[in-house]
Amino acid sequence: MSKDLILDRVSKHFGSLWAVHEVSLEVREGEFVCFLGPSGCGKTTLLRMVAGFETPSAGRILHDGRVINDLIPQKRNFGFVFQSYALFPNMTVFDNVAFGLRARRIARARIAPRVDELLDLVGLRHYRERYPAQLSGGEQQRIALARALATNPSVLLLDEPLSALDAKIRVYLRSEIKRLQRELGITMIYVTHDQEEALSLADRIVVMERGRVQQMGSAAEIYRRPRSSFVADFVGTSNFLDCRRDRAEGLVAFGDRLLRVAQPLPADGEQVSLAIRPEAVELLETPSELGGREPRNVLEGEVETVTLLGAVVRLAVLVGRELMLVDLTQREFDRRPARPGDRVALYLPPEGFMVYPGGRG
Amino acid sequence: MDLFPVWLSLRVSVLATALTLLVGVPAAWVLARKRFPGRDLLEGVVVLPLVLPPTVLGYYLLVLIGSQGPIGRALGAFGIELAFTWRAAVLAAAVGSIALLVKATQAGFETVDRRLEQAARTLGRSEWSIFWSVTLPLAWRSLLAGTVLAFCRAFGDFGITLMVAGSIPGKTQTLPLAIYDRVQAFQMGEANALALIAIAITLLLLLGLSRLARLRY
Repeated sequence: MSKDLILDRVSKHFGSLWAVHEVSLEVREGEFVCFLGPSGCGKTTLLRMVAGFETPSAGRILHDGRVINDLIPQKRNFGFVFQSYALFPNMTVFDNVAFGLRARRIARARIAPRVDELLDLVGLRHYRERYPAQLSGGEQQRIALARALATNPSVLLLDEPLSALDAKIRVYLRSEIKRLQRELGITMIYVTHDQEEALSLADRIVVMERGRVQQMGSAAEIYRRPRSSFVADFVGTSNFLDCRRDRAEGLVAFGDRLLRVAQPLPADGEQVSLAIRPEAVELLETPSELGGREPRNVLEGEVETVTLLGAVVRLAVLVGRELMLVDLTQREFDRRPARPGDRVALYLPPEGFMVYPGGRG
Repeated sequence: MDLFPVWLSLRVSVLATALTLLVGVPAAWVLARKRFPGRDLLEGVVVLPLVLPPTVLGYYLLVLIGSQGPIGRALGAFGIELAFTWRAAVLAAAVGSIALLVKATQAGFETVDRRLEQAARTLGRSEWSIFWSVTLPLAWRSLLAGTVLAFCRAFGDFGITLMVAGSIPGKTQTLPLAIYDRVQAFQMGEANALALIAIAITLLLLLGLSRLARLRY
């Protein structure tokens, strides 16, 4: 039987505050799952319940077919990695990594080779005799990973493990964690508020807001088909257009303009919210250069700012009173450069929209 | 000069400190780590000896351990007498000093990052083992400071000891009581000598403490 982790309508309240509300999900053995959401969405509380630091107010947590709600952390064999590393400052790197092994009555002679094996795994064997305070943040977190992995946990739980680190180290350690997960085939649950981290790491992402699961799916699904305007806004960047339904099929009114939308509109309600990714918006050479495009979906505006974001260039274009973000690749930008103050025509492809009922929040 | 009060005081305060550690460290841990109904009351009771007049403490202690008191009677059944013996002096010194140990140690435990203990739990260590390998080693400085303060307070106790153990020369007369006794009898030379010994002992302890506190872990 596989050692799946199942959350069954798990809730947690602190006094009258519901931190987590009826969350149900399944983490398969060997899967890499990210809990993603803004601070206060309940993702860390959920992780702490899985670890056994908190007890659910309602619902069940099952692992390997057993309810583990009341099982103490010591008996779960789940590793935990904290944002603050939480290395024991009074112990050397060696003693930190050996800490869990010593609880298991493993023969003394077998502890040292196992510790060295783990230190090799994170590439820090030469720091064996150092104290945590003598290491950088990134190095400390690698030791914390080695320490958590030493006892062969069946699930590794990581609570914003990279949030305290510099951007460069963060990206490097991200790939290290992914490599460890692949090499060891270990189940990982990774909590983050960083959508880029979640998109690049997870087999499956669980987007949370205000204690509830908003959407669950692969990175591609979450990014391409966000189920709510919250997800569209939180994962990646979206432009939002508040529109009204039009009598004609497939058309919505945006201000005094009509836009064609390829997706079916919600069944009821007058208000419709359209979202479109900045990279889905096209910059036209001239308003008349249509070439088979839907003529209604051309909007004109004035470039406010041009920002270089590395591989892409982001334009902020003022359309009426709305600011629209447009992402161009460097090559597209070189072909059609734009400067602040330029008048430009934007094309919003009908199939590029995501459609949500009602106005935004 | 009779040095009996010096030896008695040392013995009484060492034993009182041991008693204080035995009761005070678990109490400090509970206060630092547990939330339960009556916790605030317990904290209040622990601090009370620090602020109450020693005579009040001594009075109630005497009510408890006197030959008619509940504890006194229970011990009496086993032929153990407490009131007006050197053992009562130990108890008096412990009651007077326990608040200092508990408060210092509790503060020490509270500064230990809870996440370290949580990490230790996920690594499979028992609570007992976590206390000895993580919590205590990280709070030892506060514990040491509390112990030395408690010792000094126990060493200097006057009021409570006088109430429950009396001031029987050669039996329960501790150093502070002996000094008072010598002054009452106009034996200023002896009073002076004993006072200097008291100062020397406490000063030595405090110096040793600051030396130790410079060690890392």
